[in-house]
Amino acid sequence: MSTPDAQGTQPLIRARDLVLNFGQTQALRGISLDVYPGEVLAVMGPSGSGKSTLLHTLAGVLVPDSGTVRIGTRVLGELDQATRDDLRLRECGFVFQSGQLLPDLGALDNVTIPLLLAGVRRREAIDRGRAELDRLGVGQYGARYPAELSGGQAQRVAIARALVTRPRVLFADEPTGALDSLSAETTMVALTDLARADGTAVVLVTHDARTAAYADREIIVRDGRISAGIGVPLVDENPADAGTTAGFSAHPGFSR
Amino acid sequence: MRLSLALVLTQDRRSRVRILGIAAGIAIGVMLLLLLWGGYRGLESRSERWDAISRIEMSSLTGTLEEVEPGTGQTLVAGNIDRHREADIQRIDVSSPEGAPPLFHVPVTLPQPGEFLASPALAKRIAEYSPLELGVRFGTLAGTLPDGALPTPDALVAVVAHNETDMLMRFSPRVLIGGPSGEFGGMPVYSFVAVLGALAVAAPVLLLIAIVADLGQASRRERTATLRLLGASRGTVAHLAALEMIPAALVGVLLGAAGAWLTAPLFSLVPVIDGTFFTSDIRVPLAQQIVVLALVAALVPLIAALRAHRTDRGVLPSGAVLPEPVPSFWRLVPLVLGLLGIPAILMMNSILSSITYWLAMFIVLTLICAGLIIAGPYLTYVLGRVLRRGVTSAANVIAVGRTVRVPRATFRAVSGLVIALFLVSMFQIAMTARVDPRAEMREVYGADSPVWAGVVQLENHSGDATLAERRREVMSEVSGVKFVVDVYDLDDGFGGQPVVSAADARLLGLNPKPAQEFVMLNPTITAGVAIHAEDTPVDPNVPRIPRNSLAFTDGSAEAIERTRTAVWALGLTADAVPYVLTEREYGDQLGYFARFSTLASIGAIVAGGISMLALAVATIIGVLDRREVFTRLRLMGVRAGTLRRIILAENVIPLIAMSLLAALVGMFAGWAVIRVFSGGNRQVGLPGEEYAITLLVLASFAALALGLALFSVRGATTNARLREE
Ligand SMILES: Nc1ncnc2c1ncn2[C@@H]1O[C@H](COP(=O)(O)OP(=O)(O)OP(=O)(O)O)[C@@H](O)[C@H]1O
Ligand SMILES: [Mg+2]
Repeated sequence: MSTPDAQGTQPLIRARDLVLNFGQTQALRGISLDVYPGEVLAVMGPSGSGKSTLLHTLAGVLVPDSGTVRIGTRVLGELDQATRDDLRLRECGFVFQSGQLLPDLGALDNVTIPLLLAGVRRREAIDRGRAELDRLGVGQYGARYPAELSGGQAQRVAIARALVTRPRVLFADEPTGALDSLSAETTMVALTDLARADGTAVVLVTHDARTAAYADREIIVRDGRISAGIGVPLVDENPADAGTTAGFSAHPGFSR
Repeated sequence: MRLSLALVLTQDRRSRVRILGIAAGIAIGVMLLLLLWGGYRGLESRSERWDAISRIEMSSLTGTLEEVEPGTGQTLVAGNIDRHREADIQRIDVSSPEGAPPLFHVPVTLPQPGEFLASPALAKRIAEYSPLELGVRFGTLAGTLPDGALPTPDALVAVVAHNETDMLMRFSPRVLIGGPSGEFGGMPVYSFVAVLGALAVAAPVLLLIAIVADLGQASRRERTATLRLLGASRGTVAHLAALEMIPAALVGVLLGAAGAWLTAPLFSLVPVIDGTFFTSDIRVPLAQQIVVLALVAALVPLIAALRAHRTDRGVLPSGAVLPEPVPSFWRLVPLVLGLLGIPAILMMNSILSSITYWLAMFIVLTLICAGLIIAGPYLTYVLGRVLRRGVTSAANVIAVGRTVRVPRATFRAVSGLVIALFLVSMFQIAMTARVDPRAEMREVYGADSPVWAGVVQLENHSGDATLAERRREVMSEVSGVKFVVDVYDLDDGFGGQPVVSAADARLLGLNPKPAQEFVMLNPTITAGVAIHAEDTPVDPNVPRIPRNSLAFTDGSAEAIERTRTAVWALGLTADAVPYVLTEREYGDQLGYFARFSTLASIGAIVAGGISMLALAVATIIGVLDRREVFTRLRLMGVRAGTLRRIILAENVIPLIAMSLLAALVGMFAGWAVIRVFSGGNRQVGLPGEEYAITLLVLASFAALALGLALFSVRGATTNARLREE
């Protein structure tokens, strides 16, 4: 696969001049960013710089004070709450550091929940959930409760749950933050491989350069602004006029 | 050190709000506890005061040991139960040289002869009706009786003063010996009711207090884990939990006491068995209150400490949920034993004597009641397992998943309601077997007896012919009385054959042969059977003893009461009280059940209200416990409405299933009680509207509780909290 701009692809997410304040705290101070279909984008930066805030704003969970987010052809600010919820359910997946699985449901049931919410029949949801768990190598733990899984296993179940609906974009906030380096690695490999296989874009928030290495490109957020971008243009001002910015830097995660 | 740590930890606003919530829960619990105890005390003192009155009644043995000796300054009493339009009036006639003979537990100064004291309820009743119907019966109203002399505020009691001559002439009095005993005797039915009420209400109250105390624990699991991580010992954490609860316990207990004091006048209006309560009876004396309050205030921190100790997960990472152990199958044993006990008792019908029969029934019912509570978690678990396969929507999958995981907590939230429903169903079903005693009587004695409803009868125990003559005269004068008939006993050595004069026989619609001076009637006449003449001729030379005067009125209540009043007012009662046949009690045992069933409904509604409060609290705790997860679900795009549906399903599924079970078991028990009660003679029917209303009230309580819970967890299910992961 080649660079998105080279293909002339439209960005999947197009964010412009995002500003968001929590009272006195200026969490986002004018961020513009495009996310292309199928790419893995790492968002890095020091603690408190606004990474999670950016992720939530891109997903339409937080509403920016000014600026716009467009997913596909839809402008989030123009949608009502229910439509945004529905959009997230059908087109976005989420993975967090930990604690996202429903503690009272087994791993398999956890994975079937997004399908059931999307109206899939239970029988079929179970089949697809089982296949997804297999794909992540945790098929044998379907009957276990989250508390009975290791951190790495639980994260894979969470990834299975995020991917089972075949979302267009997966938002991951420190998905390996609670894992040791070995399970972090296997988890990241699984996440990025499967996302690429499905053509799912990934927005990956992380502190960790080794995790970021799995991304196609990365941006660094500092004090609510993008301080540097490695890989592709941060903002494709004019998609038709692509190719004016730098190409990919070499990194091990980019191996397609 | 620990105290200062506790102070630091309770300083933030959220924990202060939480402590206020706990205090409010404790306040409600304490308030109901005090009112319940007040109610029990009220029934006890009511029983004592009933004893004081009933020992004076004709049927009581008091005073028979001492002969009446006129002119020796004895206090003479005659106690009778008079009636006025369906209501019983306790009438006490007294003559005494003492100003205040020891009739009651409190001193009552007698008025002048010819005057009477009335209970406030009777005074009110007298004012409501024409004097000829009621007021004149007693003489001149000279004042009201103090509360201490009355069983209930609604009791109709009259104390009528006479001089000794009058007393001896008009009544067959006895000598009053000593004052009423202070013993708690007489009416076991009250203690039964009190125990029943305690069962129905105290259990959910304690549950509420326990759940509320739990609120302190659940919302602080993370903090506990952190403290443990920092090196605090198990003991320190438990100690802290107790220390934190002390202010809440103190505030709650004081608020509860104030609430009980303030609402006592309202709760005293609840009729229990035969009347409402005196407010002063319902208010628990200060000394006893202090004991209750101190106990609760000490217990709440203790419970908190114990729970903290037991649920301490040590240094587990936050969010890790320790699953409940799976409830074991053996929990079914008491319930099954109880249910099997019913056919066993029914089969042993002939072997058990009546008292052991009842004891066995009581044990079986207790076993079923306790068995429901013990079996609850297991049944909830099984229900969850069964449903888990069938549910299809995401909300139901999540809800049922939780039911399987935490069946105890799930059941605990609805257990109060389960007991309430069991009791109310049992009583309501049992009540349907009740037959109107009058209808039953009519069935036994024949269909054509309604005429007896308008006949005032006056028995003549002394056989005094002049008295009979005067009675007849007086009653004939009363407007609304069509005619009066004198019934005699033929003193022919066989006894018991009723006889009337030929003239009276004609009044009764009989056609005596012309030569007959007297006509013999069927012996069952005064039992309400239609009158007919026997063919046996009556020898006019055989002496006749006056037995009964029958005043045939137009059947109106006014006429009946005027007749009674005339007899009383003119001093013609002697040893007999005028009565209407249909008023007589016909061993209506099930009447008690009818009263209980209303009581059980009231109890169920109170208990249901409390347990629904507990349900609301438990639901809120359950949501707060999983706030993180719910926040993430919202993030995934799960709508707030779906989350609400999850919370609803989590509660509604076990609620409905367990309520259904409790209601069915209750109905079965009610049916069994009737079988035992009536020896299989009576059938139960479909429960009536009282049951429907109770269920409706309970259902709306449940809806209210869940609405309240959903409303208060709205924060956890909308976007507002999304950043607080
Ligand atoms: N709900 C909130 N209310 C107030 N301030 C907030 C809230 N959420 C975040 N902030 C502030 O906004 C800023 C950005 O927070 P954000 O969570 O985006 O940082 P981050 O880059 O994800 O940090 P980390 O790497 O530690 O997760 C911080 O200064 C934080 O204190
Ligand atoms: Mg963050």
